[in-house]
Amino acid sequence: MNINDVVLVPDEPGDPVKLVGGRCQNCGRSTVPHPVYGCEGCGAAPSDITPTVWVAEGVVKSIVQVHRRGGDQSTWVAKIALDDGPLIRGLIDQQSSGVSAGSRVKGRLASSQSLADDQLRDDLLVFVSVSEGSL
Amino acid sequence: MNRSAQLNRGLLAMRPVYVIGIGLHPYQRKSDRSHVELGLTAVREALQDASLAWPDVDAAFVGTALLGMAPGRAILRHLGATGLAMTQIENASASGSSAVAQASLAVASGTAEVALALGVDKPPATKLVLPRAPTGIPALPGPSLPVANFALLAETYMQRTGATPEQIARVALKNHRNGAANPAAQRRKVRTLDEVMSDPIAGILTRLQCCPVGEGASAVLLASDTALKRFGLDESRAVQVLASVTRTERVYPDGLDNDTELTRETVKVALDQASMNALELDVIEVHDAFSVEELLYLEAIGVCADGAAASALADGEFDIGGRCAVSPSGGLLSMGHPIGPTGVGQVVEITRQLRGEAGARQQPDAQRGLAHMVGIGAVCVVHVLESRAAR
Repeated sequence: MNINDVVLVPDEPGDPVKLVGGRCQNCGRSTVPHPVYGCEGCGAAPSDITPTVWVAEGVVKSIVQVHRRGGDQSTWVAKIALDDGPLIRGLIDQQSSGVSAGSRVKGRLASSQSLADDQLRDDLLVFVSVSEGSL
Repeated sequence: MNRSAQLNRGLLAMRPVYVIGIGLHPYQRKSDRSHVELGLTAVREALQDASLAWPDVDAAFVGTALLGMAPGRAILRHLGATGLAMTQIENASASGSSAVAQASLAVASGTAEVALALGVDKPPATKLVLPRAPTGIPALPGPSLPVANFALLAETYMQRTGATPEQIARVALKNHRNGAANPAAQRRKVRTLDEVMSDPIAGILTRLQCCPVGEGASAVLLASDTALKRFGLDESRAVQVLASVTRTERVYPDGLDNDTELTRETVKVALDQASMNALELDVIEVHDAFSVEELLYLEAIGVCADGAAASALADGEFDIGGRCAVSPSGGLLSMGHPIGPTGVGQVVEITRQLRGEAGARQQPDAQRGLAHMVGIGAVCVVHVLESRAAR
């Protein structure tokens, strides 16, 4: 089962969350999500881009707190260099303490409230410190 | 860089282009005033400034990101339906800059003797959501707020250069001080550093270090040498557009900021075309939607070394009266960023400066200026201008 064709939900508890992207066989450029129309780096055709799966784990390059207007909740956003993969931007779990530039983080699913039908769904990808317990 | 960019001599390969008239409707919070009235105010002021009549204008380019399909004639027909050529331009935040670019090209190429670049925008009645069609590419679920992106950039900038949050906040301190002297600015209060650093939005970026949302209009009239002579215009007030360059982002190595590298490439082409060195610039208006951007772009433009902008700012080098006045209008942070008008408004300010007509905001002996905007894409548009006295 996938979330939005980008996030691979683990089959077993304890398995890592994975992200679906692509690696260009012509220039080596890696991206998440998979560049379905062609490579932005060299213009290679979609057929020259290999679908690639990365474990959602890597190193935080920078992190900031984003305040929400009118409320006391805030979110934490980070730039994360996936292991042997591209740089992505991700949410850091608000409960996850001690994450700073240089920290290792891993992805896990969290619940978000659907605006459409008010149901909770596990469709939010957040990153937590690797030192925290697994799913 | 592609080969045609390296060979392209730009505007100076064609007829000279001059800014001969400027006009503004003040940038302000959303009001009941229609976009028609906003636009007409700016155009009428530009016509009066140029001592021209509307039938003298051959072509109009209307830069707008939010007004939807074909707003140009709805505005300009009230000046008289002359049948002039008219085109709407959308290039995200650079919409107005691209209107200036197209108007400059029309005059330079000979397809117009006098061309109008009008920037006009008004936030929609409901919540401002930038309309973008779905691309068919699934997105990584996660944050896409521009303020978060620039807050992350600010963190990286501080890690790389040793700049402090206070030094970055001084960009906003300067620009709010400049905007307080600008009757067309949306925010017109001199602020203390404590005020600038309060009310956090994301990371070190606070409310006063982020540009406001609003409405407004700005207009420039561009003309050829032929038009200057035919209409008997005051040539001493004509400011020449030496270069007009538009580029989009390429793929840069991980760790480099796309907008900064795009700025570096675009400005290099523009200054090369103008046969000018960045250190010769007297006035610069940049895309300072968030305070840290001004520092990043000044380093990319080359007015100081990489990593040195924060300390140069702290030393007063970019104040009005310093070696190069940056954002003398108040910039996007203080003058505002109503989107369509912004890039045209930068050319309005630089023209005032190069004419010596900027009053309390005047940079002494200003002869050369650069206007820089970036827009979602990313796209970058740069204009280089010079006073008649400099030639």
